[in-house]
Amino acid sequence: MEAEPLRAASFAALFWIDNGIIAYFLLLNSFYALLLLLAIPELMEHWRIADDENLRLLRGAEVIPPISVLVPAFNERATIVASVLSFLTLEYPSHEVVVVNDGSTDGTMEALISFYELYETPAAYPDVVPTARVRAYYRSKVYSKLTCIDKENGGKGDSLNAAVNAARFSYVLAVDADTLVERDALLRLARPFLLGEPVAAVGATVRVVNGSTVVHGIVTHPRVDGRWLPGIQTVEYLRAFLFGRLGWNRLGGSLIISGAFGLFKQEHLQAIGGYNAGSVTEDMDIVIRLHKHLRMEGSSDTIQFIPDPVAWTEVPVTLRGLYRQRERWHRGLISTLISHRSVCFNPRYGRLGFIAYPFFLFGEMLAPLIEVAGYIAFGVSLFLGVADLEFTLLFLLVSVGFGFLLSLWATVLEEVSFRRYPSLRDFFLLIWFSVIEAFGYRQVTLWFRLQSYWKYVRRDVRWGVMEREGFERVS
Amino acid sequence: MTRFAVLVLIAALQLAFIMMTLALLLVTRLRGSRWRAREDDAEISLAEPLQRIMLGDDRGEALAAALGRLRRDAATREMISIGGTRLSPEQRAGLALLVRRAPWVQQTLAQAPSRKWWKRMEAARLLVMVCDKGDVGLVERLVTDMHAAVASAATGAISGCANSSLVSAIVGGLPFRPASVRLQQCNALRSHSALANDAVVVALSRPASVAQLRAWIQLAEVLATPEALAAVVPLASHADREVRTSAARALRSCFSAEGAEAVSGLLKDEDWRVRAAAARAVGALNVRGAIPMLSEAMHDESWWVRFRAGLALADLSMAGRAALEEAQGSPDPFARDMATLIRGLSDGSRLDLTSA
Repeated sequence: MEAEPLRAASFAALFWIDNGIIAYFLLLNSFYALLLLLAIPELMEHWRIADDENLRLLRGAEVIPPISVLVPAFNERATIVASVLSFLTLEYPSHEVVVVNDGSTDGTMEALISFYELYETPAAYPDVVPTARVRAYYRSKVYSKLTCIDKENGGKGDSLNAAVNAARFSYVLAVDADTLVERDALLRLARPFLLGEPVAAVGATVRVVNGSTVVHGIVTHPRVDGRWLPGIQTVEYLRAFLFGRLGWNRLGGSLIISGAFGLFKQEHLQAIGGYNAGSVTEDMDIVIRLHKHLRMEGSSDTIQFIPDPVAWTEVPVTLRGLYRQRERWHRGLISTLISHRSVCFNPRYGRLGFIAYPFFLFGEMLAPLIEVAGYIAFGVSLFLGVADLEFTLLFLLVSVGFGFLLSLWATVLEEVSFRRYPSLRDFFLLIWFSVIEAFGYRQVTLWFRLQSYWKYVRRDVRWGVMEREGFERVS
Repeated sequence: MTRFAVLVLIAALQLAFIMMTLALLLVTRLRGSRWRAREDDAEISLAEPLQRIMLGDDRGEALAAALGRLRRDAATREMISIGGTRLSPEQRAGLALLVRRAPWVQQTLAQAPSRKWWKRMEAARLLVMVCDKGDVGLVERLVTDMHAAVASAATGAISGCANSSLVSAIVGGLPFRPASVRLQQCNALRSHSALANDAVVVALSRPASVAQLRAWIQLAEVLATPEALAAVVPLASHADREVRTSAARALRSCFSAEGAEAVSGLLKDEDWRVRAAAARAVGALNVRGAIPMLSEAMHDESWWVRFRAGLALADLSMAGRAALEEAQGSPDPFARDMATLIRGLSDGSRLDLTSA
């Protein structure tokens, strides 16, 4: 007799857990749909102004601020000379390149000294942000725009801090040494200045280079990689950058500016103490701190995302590589959100506290746990007969459909705006990868992200090594 | 409604959206291909008349007629492209006369009061190609547009119809333009320096806000006429540091004894930004008499002042370089380090940094 009420209570609990998961899923996807709707007018606005005529007006304009390009490098001997050359030859009226050798052990510094004819100079800059010990500062005899810093290993954030200290100009662009920045990307990134808008930081698009033809560091023929892993990531990047981040422009600014390509006002970076050297996602951490700083200072400077400046990056082509990347990203997300928990629903931070932070907390950080809970709850419900097979399958179908619809819309936005993939083959590949993303890839990345919780609890702060095929090789 | 019914409804809506999105994608692809084909056709149809006008066989009648046969947007785009890059100013002016009354030109220019900025920008771009003396009002409206892209695009039309009232309106509006548009408009006013000169001298002699003074000093710098720069000299002692910095920057554009004296005096300014700008100006104006002050500036507390002073000394003949060498042997580590940095640069790198 006692078993019956317990059984009924369990059934009722399962029923409401299922309902909760459905409600969570509907809310989350509605928010993505909102981001998409907000991104459309933003994208059109940028697309109209991004054409060559306006860009031409910028070339040679003395009023756009000089920019310091910060390039942290760790064991990049094979590519460092070519990457630095590509940064030095970016189209921009006035910029300098600050390379930081983060205690490389493969001869990165020697390669730089030899090719760029570096000579040691005194430490002529004040250390506003503390960093690991700097061994020497160098300038180039042949490239006046180049400054190099040789320092002891301290991680990416620490290297960026050393570069921020040495940067001469009031705006700094953080890039990865292994990122291909398009020649006119800096000019495009400077568009807010042309329009007279006050900005604290500008983020831009990162695209997947795998499968594309790269000649002398320039992506000459963008293509979608036919292999499933890089192919699906191409769709993921399109979705993330074309509406995921663009939509946030109208909601107070995203919490993420890619570490591979982001412009910051130096005075704000220095005011918040530079990058967090201990973080594995220093790019997210710095943006949250910047949001908080701007809010507390009552500054009118904004954090924007611009879709047309493009940097190309290589994505993992093996599950092992993908695991390292996604596990680290999610671990960084957990760590950053937890360390800034005071922001959540805090009226002092306005939209950051009531929209952006809760979204990243519930929609990103906790999403893997809720998704697994959903799989378990529906499995048990199905087994116990709380939910029928039809209902469960329909729910799965709807959840797959939402993902597909959002990916399709990312492709639509790409087609109506910048259209970097003109061939019909690439067009159909993008649709194909949008379809298959939900079958296998999603579950695999879910598993990777789940492991990050355990690693976070164990205080694991490793980055993991990214396996690369090399730009010219993948073409 | 049961939860199953809710899901069915969502699934149905979703399916409809997916089908619509797929259809939209295919239509976008097809339209894109057709649009490009039409663009190619437009270009092909203009190739022969364009060749004739470029060879001098025709004054543009055939090209004007070919443009008239295109859709309005295509004709506007082609006119902007052809006029901007492929025709000489005389050929462009001739073509502008022929198309000025064409319906497609009138329709595009009629977009100038549109609420959509991209339509106003299209009108501004076409106006640059077809502007005549009667368009003063339209040009004034567009160059003072609140959207920077529109004001920027219209700036090219100033030269087609500038008169004293337009120039005065532009000069008066300079402080309210974004920095990049302001610079463009200052450069455009250089072609009408007589009109602009009078306007800026009057403006600088009146009491004005810091923002106004900075904008007008920038115009004086771009014009670089003795009269305009003479009006800047008194502002080197203005109470606001931004005005003094702008004055130091402007005064380096053309040598005058008063200007050289004023910037030399600014080497002792209380603000480091002003001192750095003054050091740069002293180097650019080749004021050899300021070498002792620059040597002193090598011990300045600001890195930027030491940097600019070092570069200026390196530019100031043998005496300047000797002073730099002396600074390298100085017991002051700041002066010594800066002198080491500057002396290590190749001539090309140094020139590059001096002009940066």
